[in-house]
This record gives sequence, structure tokens and C-alpha cells, in this order.
Amino acid sequence: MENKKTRELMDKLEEYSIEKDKEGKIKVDKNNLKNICKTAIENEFDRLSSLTAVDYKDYMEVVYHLGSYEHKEVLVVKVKVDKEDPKVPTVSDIWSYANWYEREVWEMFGIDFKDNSDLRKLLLPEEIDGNPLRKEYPIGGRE
Amino acid sequence: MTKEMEIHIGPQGPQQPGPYQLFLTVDEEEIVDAEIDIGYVHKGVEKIAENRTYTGFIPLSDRVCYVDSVNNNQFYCQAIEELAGIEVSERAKYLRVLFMEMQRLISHYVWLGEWLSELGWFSFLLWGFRDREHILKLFEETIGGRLNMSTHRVGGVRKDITEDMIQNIYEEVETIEERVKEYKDILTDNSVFINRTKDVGKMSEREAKELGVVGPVIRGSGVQTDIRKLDPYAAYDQLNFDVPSYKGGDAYARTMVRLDEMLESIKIIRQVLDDLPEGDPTPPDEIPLLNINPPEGEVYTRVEAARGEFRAYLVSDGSDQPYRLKMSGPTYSNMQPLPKLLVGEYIADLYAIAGSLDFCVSEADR
Amino acid sequence: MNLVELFNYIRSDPLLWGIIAATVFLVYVFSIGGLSIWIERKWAGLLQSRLGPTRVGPFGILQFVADLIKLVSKEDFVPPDGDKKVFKLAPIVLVSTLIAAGSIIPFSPSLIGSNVNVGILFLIAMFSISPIAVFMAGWGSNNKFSLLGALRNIGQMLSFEIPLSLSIVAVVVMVGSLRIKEIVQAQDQIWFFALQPLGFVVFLLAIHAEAGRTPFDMQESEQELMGGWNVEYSGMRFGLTMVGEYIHLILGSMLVVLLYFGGWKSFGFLPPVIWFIIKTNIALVILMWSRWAIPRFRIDQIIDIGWKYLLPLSILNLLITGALVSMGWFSWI
Repeated sequence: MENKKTRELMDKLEEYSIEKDKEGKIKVDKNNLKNICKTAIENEFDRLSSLTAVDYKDYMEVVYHLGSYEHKEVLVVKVKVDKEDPKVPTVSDIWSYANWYEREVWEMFGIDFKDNSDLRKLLLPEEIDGNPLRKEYPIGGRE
Repeated sequence: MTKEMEIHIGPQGPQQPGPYQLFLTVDEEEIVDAEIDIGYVHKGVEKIAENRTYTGFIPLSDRVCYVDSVNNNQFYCQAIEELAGIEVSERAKYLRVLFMEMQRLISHYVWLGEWLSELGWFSFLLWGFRDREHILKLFEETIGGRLNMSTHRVGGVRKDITEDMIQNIYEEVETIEERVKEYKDILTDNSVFINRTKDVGKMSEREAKELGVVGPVIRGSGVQTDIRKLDPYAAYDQLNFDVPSYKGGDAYARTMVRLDEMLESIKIIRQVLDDLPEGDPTPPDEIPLLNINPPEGEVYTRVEAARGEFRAYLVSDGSDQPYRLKMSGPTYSNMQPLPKLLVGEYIADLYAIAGSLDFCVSEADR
Repeated sequence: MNLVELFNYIRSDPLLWGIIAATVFLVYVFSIGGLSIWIERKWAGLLQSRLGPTRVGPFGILQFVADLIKLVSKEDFVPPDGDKKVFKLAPIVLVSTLIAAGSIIPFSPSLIGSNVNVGILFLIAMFSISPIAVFMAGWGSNNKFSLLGALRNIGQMLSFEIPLSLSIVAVVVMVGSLRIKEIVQAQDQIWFFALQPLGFVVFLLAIHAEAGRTPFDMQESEQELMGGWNVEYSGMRFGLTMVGEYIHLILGSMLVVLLYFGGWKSFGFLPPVIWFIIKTNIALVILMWSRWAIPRFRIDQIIDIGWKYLLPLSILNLLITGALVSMGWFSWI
């Protein structure tokens, strides 16, 4: 896949990336997240295409897909979070529509988005406890 | 002096295409504050996917949104194929496009009927569903299902189509094209309709981008973005079609975008039938039917579903079950700005706005 | 007392005679009105490429009977938190005033309930009571959607009552009488839609808006208001609200025929009363047609039409008519 723009952007993000590969994925520290988003917006990656999380059993990753309406390239930004006390800064002040994504990740994985004042249940009913998309959560909500 | 009143609309309001609730604060007819609540049809599809085999999830991907099932098949199969490096035969690619465009027509017909009946134009509901029936019959004939067809297989499509079916599709498409043109004439002529939709639910190009809307909604605001052109999948890079977009940014512009898209879909269907390559579109024998084991890795893939960009993120750990499947449907993106669009409008315009965004709530809730 | 004496006795008592006339009108509404409902349904079916009613009676003509039986057999629910008296009274007020209005409709020169000398005025007065009934329903239901619907209804009625009355006044000025019978008789040579084209258009729009059916059914708009002012009604009370709406429409089409299309004036070969019914049903179908052909207006747009277009037009029409009458143009009527 041709990804000239992504590579240029990744070069600019050199200082923040902990790990990177050729396909446009970078792993970063959560404290640098906002700076990365701002740099991305200035470099034609102005859209948050998707925000989700993956539970890798001993740690979790929050995955941001940054893209654009004008070109096809996608930058994947991954933030590793601790499973016991998961915390990430919010991006809902940068993209207002990140709110629903963050609410969903919050209720499904229990990841706290700092400074997002609107963390309420989105899809799940109020009475559900636990975080269904974590790997240890049993199917059907019971063992 | 007026007193503000809080009214709740839904979750089971008449004419809503799926349950969602709106909390409106109204000052007589004007909406001063709005809040939306979804999740009434949350089925935990993403969790289920982690406990099915790769193939076992295909029928379920249909059910993410029954109005748009083929496009949902596409994003899922495409993700597996990209992950496992499976090549799809040319004929299968063309047939996929054929089914997807037929599905787009169905979806737009359902939208046309439901939305205009929300505006109090009941006749269109019956007209829309009458025409949709033509395509459902074609699906019944070619694939054997009407709503959740599971047309796709990893590496191809489920069934080939015969020469007779191609003739039938040609004939039906003829009727459909005439009708779509007729509807477009009716709608561009009708001053009541224009008064109800012009400058209603207005979104400028900048606002649309800031709100993160996708598909016909953002194309109605003048942004010409379409995954079929931007990042072509299946056989779209070999087909000749336009991406309609209008500058208005209002409900009227979105209507016109969708009607034009229907005409484009018909154009694409004709092209596919004209130069359908020879060969076998069903998956070759070396692709196992049941236990596909893509290598460890992850893939982010997109398709242009009827309502807009459908984004999927699939993580594999090398086993025969998806490790994580994230789906962000177009409705999820288009629903979120609804409260913002409603503030300052009349209650009477509630469905003029909500309908023009074309929700499939089942897809947003998953 | 033999039958003739009894008849003469009833005839001489205006109240008794009025009640009988209203009953006759009611019977008309439920019999010929049923036919109109059937025509409407079949017509809608034709426009929407479906069949319409087919099961009950020949060609489904008795469908309205089945509907009525269903409505009567349903539970009569009264909202416990509502104003029960007002809630129960509202449909009765609505239907009884409209039936009372129907009692002065002349079906033919001889078949006429009460030929009151203020006929038209009485009709307008009775029409004006219906928003009160609607507001009673909306208020008594203690439901926000009902209340919003009722408020819309009042707004709509207020803005269309005046152009409606003014366009009728133009006819009255021409004829010089408020009696409906005389207005019809004055159309001996020429039907008034030819002499009053502007007034006719204003009247048609206003009476259509008053009857409150799609595209003018902002008071109900089942999509955003879930049915509007009658949302809490069930069973026969709901049936009455529907009947009220229907009578309003039938009365409206009767008025169109009486004021502008020569009432019972015929082309021969059929009795006048049949001609009147045929004309009424044609007017009815035309009024219903728009329901399937255009979407609903928005409440502010419809009030705009009432105040900004119909009112000035009806005043203009009245001025022109007045001027022509004073110049003696219509002395031959």
C-alpha cells in the first residue's frame, strides 16, 4: 500500500514514537497523545476515523485510526494502558464526535478517559456491571 | 411568557427505523435542548464475534443491519481476505459489486419510503416498498434469500448467477430506473416538499467535517468523499461511475444525493452485467470452508455502505476465531450530531432532519 | 292524533324539527359517509398501487362497519391523571356541534332541516366550537403531545376561520341573504365558482385546512406528535374524534357544493337530492386527493399561508364583490 503521507507524518512524530512499523502504526506514550493528534491534524490527518481498544490479557491498547476525507491513508496510533488502572487522556476536546467512541470504550473496557466529563453508559443498560469486552468477562454475563 | 416543557420521543415512536430515544426540551414548537440515547438493540455482536469461527460470523454480519446486509458481508470478508492474503477471482469481485449495488438500492428505497412517510407523505412508503420488492425478488432468484442473504464467502461469493438471471436483472433495472427518475421529478417539483426540506438541518462543509458525519450526509454538504473512489475495493476501480454531491447541506441536498446515487447504482449494475468476466466466483477448494486461520496481525478496512463509510478493525491471534472485531458503522457517526442539529429547529422538523440522516439503529447499537 | 298531525306538530316546533334534521344528517353521515370512506380507501389504493379494502362485503364496501364494531368493542380508557370530565366531554362536544351544523344543510328544495334565516352564520359559529372541543381533549388528556396538538389546532383554526368567513361573506353580499336555500336558488343561471373564482380558491383551501386532514393535519402529525390531540383516546371515544373529523370534511365538501356548485341544481334525469350527494362526494374525493399527493405542511408555514396570503386575498375578493354589487352588476341574481 502506498503511504507517502503517513511516512512523512511518522517522521515528524519520531520523537514521540516508542515503536513503529512500515504500515503506518505507531505506539506512543499516553502523555504525548494530544501532541500527536495536533501534529496529525496539521499534516492532513484531520479525522478520527475510529477509536477502539483491544484487551491483550495482561495489558490493553487504545487504538486510534486517524484518517482524512480527502485521501485514503490511515495512521494507526496505539496507546498501551495498564489493565488495573487504565487511564488515557481524552481526545473529545479535539474531535467532538470522539465522545461516543470514548463512552463506548469506557463502558466496554473500563478505560477512563481523563477530562471527558460525559462518561456515561452508551450502549449498555445502567444495571450492567463489569466491562463486557474484556477477555475475562464471560459470554452471556455469567460463568 | 412561555414555559419550557420536556418531552420524550421514542424509543418506540411511530415511523422510527429502530428504537432510540430523544429527550427534547421544547419552548412551544421550538426545540431548545436535545439529548439522544441509543443502545436499545445492543446485541453484543463484537463479543459474539470473539467466540465464533471466522466463517461462523458471516451470517451474523448480515444481521448487524438487515437493510444493508451485503455491504456488511463485504467489510467482514474483505478484512479476513486482507489479513490472510486471499485473492478473489475477477468474476467474484464483479458479482460482489452487483450484489452490493442492489443492496444499496434496497437501502435507499427503504429510506425514501420511510422518510417521506415521516413527512406525512404516506404514498411514498408504499411506492418505495413496491419497488424494493423488485430487487428482493432478484435476490431471491439469484442467492435464495430476501433480507439476510449472506451472499459472500471468504474468497468469493456463495453462488454464481446464470444467463437467465442476468436477463431478468436487466429488465427489472429498466423499470427501477424509470421510477427513480419519476420520483426525482416529483420531488424536485413539489413546492411543499421543498419548503419542508430546504434549509432544514443545515450543515456547512466545515460543520459536517467537524461533526464527523459520513456517506450521503457529508456528500450533501459538498464534500466529495466516497471509499469506492478513495480506496477502491472489489471491482470498483474498474467501473466507471460518479460520486454525486450537493452544496446545500440541508435535508433536500441529502435527498438529491441519495436519488442520484440510486441512478449511479443502476449505471454500475449495467456495467457489471455488460462486462462480467468468465470464471468460477465461488471460493476455490484450497480455502477451507469452516476453519480459516489467518496469521497473527491486524487489519483496518473500510467499505462504502449504503449509509456511508463502514469501518472495521480486525485483530487476529492466529487462531480460528477473531481476537477482536471492531465495527464503526455509518449510523454511529451520523447519529451522534443529531441533537446538535435539532437545537433551534421546530418539533415538526424533527423527523425531517432525523430521516434525512438515514439511521439504521441496529447498526449503531450492534 | 294521526300521522299528518304529528308531522305538522313536529314541523311547527323548531327544536324538535332541528333534532330530527340532525338525526337525518347523522344517518346520512353513517350511510353515505361510509360510502365516501370506501371511495377514499379505494382511491388511495389506486394511487398507491395496492388494492384497498377487499374482504368485508362486496369489494370491501362494508369495511367501515367492521371498523366501527372494532372501535365500539375496545376498552374505553380514561387517563387517571387527566381532567376526566373534560376528557369525556370533548368528543361529544366536537361531534354534536358538527351534527347540529349539519341540521341546516339543504339536501334538496324540500329536504331541508331548518331553513334558519342566519344559516351561514350558524354554520360558521358551529365550526368555531370545534377548536374548543379539541383543546378540551388536549388539556383533559394531561399529555404533552395532546396539548401540543391542541395548541397547533387552535393556531391553525384561528388563521383559517377569518379567510373562510370572509370568502363566504362575499357570496352572501352577492345574494343578499344568509339563508343557504336562497344562496342555492340564486345559482339558477350560473354557478358561483364562475363569478367568485378567487373566493372559491380561498374557501377551498381554508375549509380543507379547517377539516385538519393531511396535508393540513399538523394537530395530529402522527410522526412527531404520536397522533396529537386525540392520542389518549381509545375505543368509541376515539371513534367519535375520527367521526368528528370526517363530518367536518363532509360538511366542508357540502358547503363547497352549496356555495359554489349550485347545491342540488341538476342536469335532470335524477332527483335533486341524488345530484347533491354525487356532487358532495366528488368534492370530497378531490379534498382527499391531496392527502396522498403532497407531504404535510409545517405549522408555521401553514399559519403563514393563512395570514399572509389567504386573508389579504379574501379581503380583496370581498372588496371587489362589494364594489361590483354596489354598481349593480349582480342585480340579476
